[in-house]
Amino acid sequence: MDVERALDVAAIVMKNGGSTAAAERSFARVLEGLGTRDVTVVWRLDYIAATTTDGGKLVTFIRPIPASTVNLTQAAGAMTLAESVGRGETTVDVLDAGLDRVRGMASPYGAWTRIVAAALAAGSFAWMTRCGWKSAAVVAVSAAAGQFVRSRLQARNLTGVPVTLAAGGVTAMVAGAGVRALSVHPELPTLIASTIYLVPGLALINGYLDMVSHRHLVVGLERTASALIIFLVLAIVVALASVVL
Amino acid sequence: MSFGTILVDAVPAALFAGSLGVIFTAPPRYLAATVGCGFAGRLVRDLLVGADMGSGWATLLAAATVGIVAAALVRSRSVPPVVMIAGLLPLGAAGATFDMILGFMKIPNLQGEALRVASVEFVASTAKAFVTYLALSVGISLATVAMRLMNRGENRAA
Repeated sequence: MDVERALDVAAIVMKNGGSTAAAERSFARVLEGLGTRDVTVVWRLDYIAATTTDGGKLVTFIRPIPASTVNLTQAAGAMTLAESVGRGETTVDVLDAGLDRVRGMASPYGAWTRIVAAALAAGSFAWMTRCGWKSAAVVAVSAAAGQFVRSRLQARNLTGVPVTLAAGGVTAMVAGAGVRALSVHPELPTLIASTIYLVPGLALINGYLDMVSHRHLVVGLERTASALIIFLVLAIVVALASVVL
Repeated sequence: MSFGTILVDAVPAALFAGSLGVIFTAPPRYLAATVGCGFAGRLVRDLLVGADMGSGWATLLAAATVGIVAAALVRSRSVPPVVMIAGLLPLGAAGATFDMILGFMKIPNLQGEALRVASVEFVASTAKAFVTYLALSVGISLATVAMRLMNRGENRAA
């Protein structure tokens, strides 16, 4: 059914780090392009439910949204596909093939590239907050170590708090050891900068976007609360590293 | 702060945005735009703060700038979220959020004057984090609405 196709597109956007407003727009564009109306949708962080009528009966379709790693390439692909359907440039058959293609979009970057990116992100954050070159070097090395652990755990389909706890713990401990060995100052900002690549900035911005839109207040609050839990985990590992080392 | 210093300070923000773009799996063709957005956002915010504008308003306008720069660099009807989000993150209040949580964890163990000082710092960092993320989302929403209206105008004209 057309509603199920629209739900599939919206679920890809939500699952891969898109905001609820973006997912809703993609959902609406697909239905618009396929000429379907009178659909009621319930948006949640862990599922989307759409109710419509089929042969005079009410039918509800549900798509669960599993917690998974962010892949904005897939989110962008799904949104582009939805816009193309909305403009009437894509037929149902092409949409189905397009959905399969979007689901198969892997990250264009290998694990080592992402490790270098994590090191660069942490190093540049230390530079941005005027921590000094010694501090930037320590946080770059520790972020690389933490991202290595994170990529290993993600390869085993682990996500969420346990991954953040493990990767953040390794990062903060390596950074703490570096701070002590090289007498780096300032200590706490260096430890914080080392974990910056794990900070849920995307979830917080999406959460606020949802709340500002006012249509998705509950999802926005869920996203913000979930991001604050990740922040809490990171703050605990940073505090532990500063006490232990 | 001199313009030269502000310009140099925008470089790590650009690198930060580009690196986060890679971590968030941005398509390689959008990485340059991500770097450009990170640079522009930080530059605009620092310039506005340097001109005595409040941090919240400066962040809001910088976020709107990120949205507009993203649209200009990508040259597409819809700007991919990765470009805007990665471009916005250097403007985020990660430091204030960490201060907030670390302060929250510290407060129960304090007494007297130390407790008063820590409580004030906690409220300040909480407010800073809240206002910054709110400014980011309002700014980017304004830019998105403006772009949508411009697209509609172009479609009607065509």
